[in-house]
Amino acid sequence: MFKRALIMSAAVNLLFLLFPHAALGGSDFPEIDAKELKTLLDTSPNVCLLNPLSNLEFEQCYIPGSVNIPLHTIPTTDLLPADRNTVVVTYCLGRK
Amino acid sequence: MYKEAARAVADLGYKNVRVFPDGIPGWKAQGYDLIEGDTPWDGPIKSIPADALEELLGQVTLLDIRTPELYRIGSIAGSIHIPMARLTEQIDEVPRHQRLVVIDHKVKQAPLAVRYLKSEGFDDVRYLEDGMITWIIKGHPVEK
Repeated sequence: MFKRALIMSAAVNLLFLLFPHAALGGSDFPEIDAKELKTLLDTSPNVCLLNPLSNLEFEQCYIPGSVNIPLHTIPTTDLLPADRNTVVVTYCLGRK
Repeated sequence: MYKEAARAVADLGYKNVRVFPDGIPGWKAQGYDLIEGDTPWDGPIKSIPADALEELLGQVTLLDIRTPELYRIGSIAGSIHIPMARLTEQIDEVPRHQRLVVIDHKVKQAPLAVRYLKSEGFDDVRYLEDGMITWIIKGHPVEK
């Protein structure tokens, strides 16, 4: 029984390592593609485009109009809009 | 990371959260404008294979820049943990004048971290080839 639990634990850890984002939970949020995002940004001035990467990565490359809020700072940031109904779109370096 | 960010934003009470999974590569593929900054240090950088690093354990300083979630899964004994997102603010905690190896998950962040460290005067710094994911899968020693 102990051996089986150990194997299960190792399997879960390996799954997390291989697919950390999947293991952290699937996306519960509507997905948009590049064209939809471009249209949204061009037509809705109040959209908040959020890049959660580190400041080093953000400074290397970002979509115009983005705000950089590193992931660990989101819970305490004051850079998000006050209006909780604002559309917020998150992105990073892609799906991998 | 876009998913975790969306979750964190939603947890703050935002009701209209969306994700753009294709991210910067998807935006670039459409030919849309990007704002690109200078590379912190544009000279050549070096990596070290896992087998070679295992032989050097104890003789080099290991800087693990993965997220806390990934670091908790398993790390190399004795490594210093400073997530990439905190590297600039915690740069003073990185030992100088030592051989330094930067470790990330799968080489998406380490090369840039090495360039940043080079720009900050760290001379002998390289990154773990293929990242921690390969280190673990190949059975190199891991501490939990």
